[in-house]
Amino acid sequence: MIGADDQFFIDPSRCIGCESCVLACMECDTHRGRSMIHLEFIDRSSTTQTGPVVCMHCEDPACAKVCPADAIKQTEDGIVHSSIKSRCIGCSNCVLACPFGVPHYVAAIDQMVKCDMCFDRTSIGKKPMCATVCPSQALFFGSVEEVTRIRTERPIQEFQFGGQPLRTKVKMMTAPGTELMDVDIMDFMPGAESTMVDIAALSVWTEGMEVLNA
Amino acid sequence: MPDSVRWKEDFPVPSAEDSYATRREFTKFLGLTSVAFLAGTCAAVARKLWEQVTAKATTAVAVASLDEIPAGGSKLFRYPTENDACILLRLAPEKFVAFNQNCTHLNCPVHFEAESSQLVCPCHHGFFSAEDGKAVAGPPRRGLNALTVSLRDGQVWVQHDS
Repeated sequence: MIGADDQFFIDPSRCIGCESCVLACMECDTHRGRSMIHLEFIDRSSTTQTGPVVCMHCEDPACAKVCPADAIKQTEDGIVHSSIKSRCIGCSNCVLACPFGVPHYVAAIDQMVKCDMCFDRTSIGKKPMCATVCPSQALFFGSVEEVTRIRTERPIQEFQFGGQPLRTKVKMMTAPGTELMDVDIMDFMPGAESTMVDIAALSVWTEGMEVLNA
Repeated sequence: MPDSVRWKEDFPVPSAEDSYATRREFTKFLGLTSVAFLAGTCAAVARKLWEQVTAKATTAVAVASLDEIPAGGSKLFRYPTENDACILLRLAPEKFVAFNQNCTHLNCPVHFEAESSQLVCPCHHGFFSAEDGKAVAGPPRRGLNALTVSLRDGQVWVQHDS
């Protein structure tokens, strides 16, 4: 059984690209063999790094705000649901609007499909399907106390994309001391000098070793 | 853009607000639909009345020659427009009657039965007297609309009652 305060934590640095989450999502009864999440290859030419893409469930969801058909709704528990079938017109506005790249358009059913954090499972005390199968626990469902006890990374839920602040329900694990993840697309343009904090070079590993050695 | 623009109120992101109807909105909806129904009924009545007024102005037309129908026979024709099916009956050698063919129950076409001298609606077994078009049995309560028949120049002429 899950606790009342249990939350979803994502740590892409722990992802090993096994795609268990995608297959588990596919196997969920209500998804009818179609996965609502996907695996992202970060930079295939230079690294084996992958990242699971589950919905971050923004408090003010961009996908729902841009939907011209009023097909994306957020329930009281903060979960941003997948498209309402009868309303979705398959325009892909949400796909373009989401800063995390979560929604994807499925041409076969002419619908947008996105992760709904397995609200059908969490409402009856089960963890989301992907979190139950992730072997490296890059997708983790539990309490904040638990995740801070077993990890050196710390959860954040504040983001900024191109200067626009964003607060999410799902938490991202990152280096201790980071309060906000600031991403600007201009930093990734050819020839741009990144102003982004290089999280990988931060002291997370040193501090982690200190914790272990102590 | 301010968050208070009208379309954002109409298309809210939270699902609870999406399915929420205020009492004022519900009352407005009821009021407007009632007015729409009333207007629709008035329009339908006005149209019907107008059709009756214009139909009365139509002139008599010849629909058959005298020797075309045998006694006890019938002929279908359209009067006053192509959308109004009518039936002409020859009850006796010199007796012609004509009715609108639509049953007054649910508008099915009625057929002439010479043996019983009745017009029969096969849909729900409605029976009308062939003499004057009065409903005699079955669901219809109102008689068939009769047309005035006159014989001139070897032709049968029909006209709406004036």
